[in-house]
Amino acid sequence: MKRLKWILILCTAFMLTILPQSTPTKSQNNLFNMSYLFFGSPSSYISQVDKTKGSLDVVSPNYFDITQEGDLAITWTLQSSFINEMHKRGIRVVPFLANHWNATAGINGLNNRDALARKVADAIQKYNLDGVNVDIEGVGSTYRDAHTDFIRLLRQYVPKDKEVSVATAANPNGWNTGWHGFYDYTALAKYADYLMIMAYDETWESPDSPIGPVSSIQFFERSIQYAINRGVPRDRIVIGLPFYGRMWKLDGPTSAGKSITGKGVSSTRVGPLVDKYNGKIEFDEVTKSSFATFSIPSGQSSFIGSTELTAGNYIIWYENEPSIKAKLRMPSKYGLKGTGSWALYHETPDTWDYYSLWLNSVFFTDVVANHWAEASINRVSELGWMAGTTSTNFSPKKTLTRAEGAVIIVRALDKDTIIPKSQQFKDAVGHWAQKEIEIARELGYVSGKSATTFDPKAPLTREQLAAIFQNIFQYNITNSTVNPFPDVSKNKWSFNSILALSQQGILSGYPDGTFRPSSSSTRADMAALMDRMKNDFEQIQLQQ
Amino acid sequence: MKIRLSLLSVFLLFLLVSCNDEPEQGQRGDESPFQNISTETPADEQPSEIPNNGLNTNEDQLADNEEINRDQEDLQKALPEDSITPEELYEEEQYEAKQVEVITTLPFDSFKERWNAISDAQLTNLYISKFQEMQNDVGISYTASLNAHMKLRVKVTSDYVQSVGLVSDRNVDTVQMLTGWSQVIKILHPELEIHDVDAFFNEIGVGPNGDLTNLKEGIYPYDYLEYELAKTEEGYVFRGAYK
Repeated sequence: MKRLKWILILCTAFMLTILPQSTPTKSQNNLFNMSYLFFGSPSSYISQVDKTKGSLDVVSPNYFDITQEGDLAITWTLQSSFINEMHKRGIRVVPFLANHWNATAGINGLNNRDALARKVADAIQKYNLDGVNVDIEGVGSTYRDAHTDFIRLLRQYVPKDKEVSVATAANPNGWNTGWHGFYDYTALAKYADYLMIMAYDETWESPDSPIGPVSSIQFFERSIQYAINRGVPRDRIVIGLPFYGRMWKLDGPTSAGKSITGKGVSSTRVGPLVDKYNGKIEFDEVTKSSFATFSIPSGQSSFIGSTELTAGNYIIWYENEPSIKAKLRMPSKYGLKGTGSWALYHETPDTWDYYSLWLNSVFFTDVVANHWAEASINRVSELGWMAGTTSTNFSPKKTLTRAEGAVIIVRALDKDTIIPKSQQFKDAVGHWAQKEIEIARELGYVSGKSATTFDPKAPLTREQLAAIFQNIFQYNITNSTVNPFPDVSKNKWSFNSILALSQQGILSGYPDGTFRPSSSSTRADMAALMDRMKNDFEQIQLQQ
Repeated sequence: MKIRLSLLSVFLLFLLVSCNDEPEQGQRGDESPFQNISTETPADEQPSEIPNNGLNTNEDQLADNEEINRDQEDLQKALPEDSITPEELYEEEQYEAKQVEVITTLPFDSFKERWNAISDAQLTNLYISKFQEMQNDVGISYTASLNAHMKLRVKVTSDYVQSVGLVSDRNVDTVQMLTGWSQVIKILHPELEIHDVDAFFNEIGVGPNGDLTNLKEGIYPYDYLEYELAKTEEGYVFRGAYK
């Protein structure tokens, strides 16, 4: 009996020791993620957060406004029931304090900063909030020091266990004046828990705005680099993504005389418009941004909010899976604290299937840790050469098809923006890879099984793969009297290609000495192969 | 015992009347709480013949205005504050409508689609499924139930919307009612931003957690519109009309 007691005591002690380690908190392991909550009715706030599937550490609703006189106004959208529900979910509620681009309100608020900071701190306590995110915009650089001092005061008055963060204008071009110069990144980082860089609005709503991405990858990355170069500790940088797009009507105003020049559009509205008007969605590889084009026929119209879209041609630059995934690589690349986003409600629901995974460099749930091809899969995926089979799966064991092979090659050679001159393969018409198959054919990388058939769903055999690579790279062949593979005859159509790739050490035979030319490859095999040939592909890209 | 009860009743009635008078006077200040929100200049906000704050007016004009104000106050004192029913408020609208020109900003034929698109956009779940029509001398009124406690009333003249009113009963969910108000503003005033609506609600006394204890009834001119908020026996009426 005594022994049993001792065993029980030891087991309990052991469990107590390991319990905290076996239930790590989100913040211990994952990069930080916050999002703003501004759109939709307050009744929808809980469901908006629940759609993020546990991806958020902080939600930042629009509870604090700065009035024209520089005073604090607590908005009607503050609901204690929402705050309580968030706390039950382990999500901190850090409202943003905004002047909504009203320069007078912002300036008066800063002139009144001590009283304003005290009121904010009081409201945080009164409503059981978890801090404040200061979002003063549209105020000139002459108020830079006042702004920094306001953050210092907030840090002084807001309890230490609560957050003080600052939303800052993205500054990819290093401007020192205007409203970009208002944010003293270096000084703000001394007082703020983090800076949330608003890396969006590269284009804006105005006839003066260029037509293009809300946040190209270049704009996004340079915004990060600016903060780092200003000496902001990387663990205090939160980079903000847009969840919205901007729309232009390309052929003049609507029938009601309204010009549409960079109108903000929720990403959720793009798909339905494209479907309704038979438009198309494309991904711009250069800016890593997506755009949709569609035409509304005469006599038809659609509403976006209260704006009626009438007959004409439209383009929407917006964020979707490939563009968001491209941005989600950046926090790990630069060792940042994490991401923010403007704003909930604008993202499509599938965003949250992959968001946290990609933010934390877990690109595919079916590629287990230490999978033999894990590193290669991640690398070729990062290069954009191979995408998953779904937003979270890579399907490493799946047999590589001829269509997939063509697409991977075309992407790796950066040829996917080419428009094929003709459509030769009848069985590829309407296939998801039709364009890339025809590009690969025109460039001489692939041939069909006949003049008009490609058989896109058939497995890509090892000898076909060897032939494709040899078509691209034209490796020299060292003549040898010895046939390296007993199962590949010298007369076989693919012999030279197999020999060349074997001599280059790219494709080798099986342990029994055979090459098995008719065998298929898996997607994991292809990832490993592409990774091995990375330098060769990049060499060709450089030569273009 | 009966005398005591009667005395108590008279006293309570007196108290009630006194209490009702106080906020009414306080609510009618010289300035509209909405004026600060407008992005236009004060000159644009106010018709020139109605002075904003007494500047550029002579004493006679001031006296006239004070007279009008006193008359209005007396009239309002004579009527119990809660006695206006939504129907009466609407009849008043109809009478007023006779005296104004038809505004052709918002066509009625696409109103339902437009309203439901805003419901989609704001995730409000306040959809119009069908309208009931009621003809009168100056046009047509359409009524639609948004839910069990909220009705939308749209006044239409010559196929164009002239005003939109949201009538809610006392059992309405406050946040949903406020969302409905914001939707009325959004459809009449599409260029307004969300934060403008928040600021408006702050100005009229809507507090966090659906706190309406500081709500100020009245008429709030804003650009080319006029919003009116009234507490009725049944609940609230929030109405927006083109000026």
